[in-house]
Amino acid sequence: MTELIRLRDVAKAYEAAGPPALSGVDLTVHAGEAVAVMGPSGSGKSTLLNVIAGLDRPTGGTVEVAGVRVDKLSETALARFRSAHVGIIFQFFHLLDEMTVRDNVLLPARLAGMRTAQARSRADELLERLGIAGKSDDYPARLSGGQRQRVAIARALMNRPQLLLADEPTGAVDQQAAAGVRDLLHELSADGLTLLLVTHDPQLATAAGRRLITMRDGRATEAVPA
Amino acid sequence: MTTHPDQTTAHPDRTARAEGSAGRPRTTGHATDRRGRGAGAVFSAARAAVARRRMQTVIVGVIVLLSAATTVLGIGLLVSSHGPFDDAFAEAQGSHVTATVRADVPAEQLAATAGASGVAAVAGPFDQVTAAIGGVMGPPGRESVIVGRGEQHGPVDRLTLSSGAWLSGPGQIVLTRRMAGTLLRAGSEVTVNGVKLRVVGFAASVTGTAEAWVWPTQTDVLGGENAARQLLYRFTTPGADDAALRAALATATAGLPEGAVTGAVTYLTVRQALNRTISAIAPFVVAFAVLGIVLSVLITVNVVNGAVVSGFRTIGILKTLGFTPGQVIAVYVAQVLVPAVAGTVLGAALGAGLAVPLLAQTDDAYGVPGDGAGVPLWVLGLVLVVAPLLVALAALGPALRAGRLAANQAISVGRAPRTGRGFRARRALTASPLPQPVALGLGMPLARPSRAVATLVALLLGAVTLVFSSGLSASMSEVNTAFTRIDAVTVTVHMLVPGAFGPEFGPPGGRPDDPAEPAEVAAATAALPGTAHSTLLYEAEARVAGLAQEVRLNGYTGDASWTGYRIAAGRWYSGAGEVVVTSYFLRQTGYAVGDRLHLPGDRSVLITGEVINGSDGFTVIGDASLVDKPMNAQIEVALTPGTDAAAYTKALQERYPMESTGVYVEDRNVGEDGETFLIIQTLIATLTLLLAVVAALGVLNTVVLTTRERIHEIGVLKALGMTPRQTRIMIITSMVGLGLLAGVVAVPLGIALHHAVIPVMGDAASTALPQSAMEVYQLRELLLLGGAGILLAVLGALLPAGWAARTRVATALRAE
Repeated sequence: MTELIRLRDVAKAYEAAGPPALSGVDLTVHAGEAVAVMGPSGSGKSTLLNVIAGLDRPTGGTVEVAGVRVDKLSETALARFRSAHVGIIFQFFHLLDEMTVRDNVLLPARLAGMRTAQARSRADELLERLGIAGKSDDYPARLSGGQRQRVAIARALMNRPQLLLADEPTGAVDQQAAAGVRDLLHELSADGLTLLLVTHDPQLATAAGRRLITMRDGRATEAVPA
Repeated sequence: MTTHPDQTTAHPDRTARAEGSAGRPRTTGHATDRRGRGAGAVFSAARAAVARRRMQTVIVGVIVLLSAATTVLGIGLLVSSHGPFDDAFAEAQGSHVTATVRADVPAEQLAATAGASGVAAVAGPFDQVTAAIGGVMGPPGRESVIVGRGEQHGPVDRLTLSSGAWLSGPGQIVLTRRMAGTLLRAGSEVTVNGVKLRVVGFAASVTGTAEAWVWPTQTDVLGGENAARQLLYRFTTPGADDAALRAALATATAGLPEGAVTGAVTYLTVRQALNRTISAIAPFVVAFAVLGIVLSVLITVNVVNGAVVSGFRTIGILKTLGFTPGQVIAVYVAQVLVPAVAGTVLGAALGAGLAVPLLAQTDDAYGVPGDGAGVPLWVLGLVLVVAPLLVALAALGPALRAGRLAANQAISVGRAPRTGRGFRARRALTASPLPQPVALGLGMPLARPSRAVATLVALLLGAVTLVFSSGLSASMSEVNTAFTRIDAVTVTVHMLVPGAFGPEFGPPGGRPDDPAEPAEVAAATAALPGTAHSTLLYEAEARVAGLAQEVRLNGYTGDASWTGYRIAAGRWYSGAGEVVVTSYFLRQTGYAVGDRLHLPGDRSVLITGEVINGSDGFTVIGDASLVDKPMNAQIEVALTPGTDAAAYTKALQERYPMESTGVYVEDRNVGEDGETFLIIQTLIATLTLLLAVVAALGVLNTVVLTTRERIHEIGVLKALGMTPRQTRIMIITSMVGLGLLAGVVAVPLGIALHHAVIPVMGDAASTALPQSAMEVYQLRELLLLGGAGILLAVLGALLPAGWAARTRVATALRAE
């Protein structure tokens, strides 16, 4: 299988004198794999995800995603890289309040310069698939937590990314909605999408992740399945 | 530079520390102690806010500095344009009207006018003669007003003795320093009408009632064909303008025979003449000052509003910790007062400094003693008090809003998602074919309509300033061209008239060995290749009864209709006995087109037209018969198209070497503009720059506030693939729409302001202005000026757009 993510000796320190958020992390993820990252608060899970997505830069080591050294890219190149290869789902959805559901979903395609008809078609397809087509003209404030997260997932999938990164995707929704998100991610993984998710939710880790990475004090350890 | 989340809201720990020792209500202690501790808490919170909002603090400080500087300059010029004269006038009990009456009117009749209605005091009648004073600097034959007056002081026009002594009897004369020049000393001898007089002192009259004084019984000096009498009037209610003063004089002299009064000069005319430059500058500086003040208030409101909106959570926390509404208000007012006070002090100093060289002109003006102090202290005091007060008042509105918020409401508002302002419009924009960053940017101002409106007005005022100043500058160029006639007369040839300067004094640099004959030089010039037109002009000076200063006579020997004089009224002269005069002459003397002007030697000429000229002399222009005793000669030359003026000048000068012939050929293209125009153009450029910077700072403030508020959203967009370039475009576009709107509206407003100010400047300078000075805006230029708002918007947005573009996504997403 093709290597999609390759981290070598990655380190990240927010303050020179403080404890590192990441330290000596080595990780390889192949295309089509689903990896769950777990660990206590402050263990470096989100930092790991940010470094892979190019949202933050490591202070040491190398980060390669889809054959590209993302730690070496300029901000512009990083933005283009994310737009083309990575979809991101956030714990608090990060939807834009003044845009409708459809406009939120369309946003990545519009930023990438996709043709309007093509983008609309893709957005409608995703909204339909995620069961929120009836909400496409609503504003996020009028949606439930579960619905908002579905919108966020649709937006993350808009540009057909090779890699889907999810940071606590069930962390801000109720149990019923969390179950829906779990099923959805499982489905996406089953379809062959590479998935790396950070979570506190063991159920999600089990349902969506076929590999489990545990983080503690900035170090990553691969858990061997029982 | 990136925005850290800690900068967007008050740090709870810091707030708690500020409150810890003071804000919490205590059950013990005196009320005064509580007040004292409350003040300490307010101070701590305000200090923390100032430190936290460094950019806003700097912006408030700088805009107040620039506005205070403009205001000090504007008010300073306005006040000082009249102040020194008014002080000197009051001190000297100056003459409201100086009247010249015929010598044959009995003295008793003249003295009786003192009892007329409205007359507060009269000095005179004094015998007066217009005669040449031999032995003083200047051309022989130049006539001066000499008055027979025994007392230095009196009920009207107390003369200031600068050196020497006042008259004590016949055989003596007191001169004005201007008349005496630098060579005469007390004890020198001069002659008038063949009578020798000893100079005993030097004096000045605040309204210039005479150039020399002799003892009243000096009849051998005061008699003769040019004899007259002088009466100096002060009125109980002098009126505010020239017409009122002349009406008061008419009332006072109603009992005199018809035609007894041959001339009158009011103190307002003299004051205006003395302060001509400053008076002309003041209107546009005041216009700039008003624009600056409005801009400052607007931007301050925007800054404090932004601080309140982005600090809702902080306000809630302050209140839960025990801050009273009054203390919260004090925190928000204090955080703008600190930079406002600093800005005002520095701005007032800057304005006073800028005013010094301008006001020095007033101090140096004839007869008006100046203290050289520049802007009066009370103006500085006024600005130092009012500017911070205005800023505090501007801050009070949004601060009251902060004070009124309930603690839990403030915290929940600070956390709640924004309400649906402008969502529909923004949705329409994002769905439009516009590139996404442009559509997002254009929609950004809709989220905060009041802030957008304040920014729009700031941009509008900035753009109005650019439109106004652009027109003003072009008008000044037009006026300068009209004054100098550089578009018509490219080369001038200056010559001495042999014998004109008399035996005692020669021109600087000595006398030429073989002075050229003007007519011969004129013929040679006319025949020179490259000459399109040329005409010989003779110049002289003459005294006209009733006028405070001598009249300059310009007599052209040939056709001079091509010489570029702009006719403001009437027509060009058509031959002997007709003249045109400058608009300054008409406005200062009360003459009008169609009047006859009586010149020495029983000559009378008809005024057929008013021409525009920058000179502050009383200039009369006619044909060669106007000048019988020329002092100077000059040839005015227009060149054929394509002629190299420098080469032409050089060739003519080589033909008539200056040292031997006294001929000086001047290429007027390389001459410097007049000092006044230089000052005005420099001031326009400086003030425009200051106000444009203020307007751009207003935009900067708005974009900083918006960017900080939306940093999280920007982070999301970047996470979704927005590049730094797209981020820049989005932020800059957010202001471009407002800038475009401001620019379009600013064009008519700027033109209206220009059309209102230019005539006021002309009136203040006592001159008509050419129509071309009003018609300076061309379509192409207007289209460019319409983009002035966009320019300011882009300039103001560039910096924060760069910050937003450089902000790391993870940092932005961590921001609350």
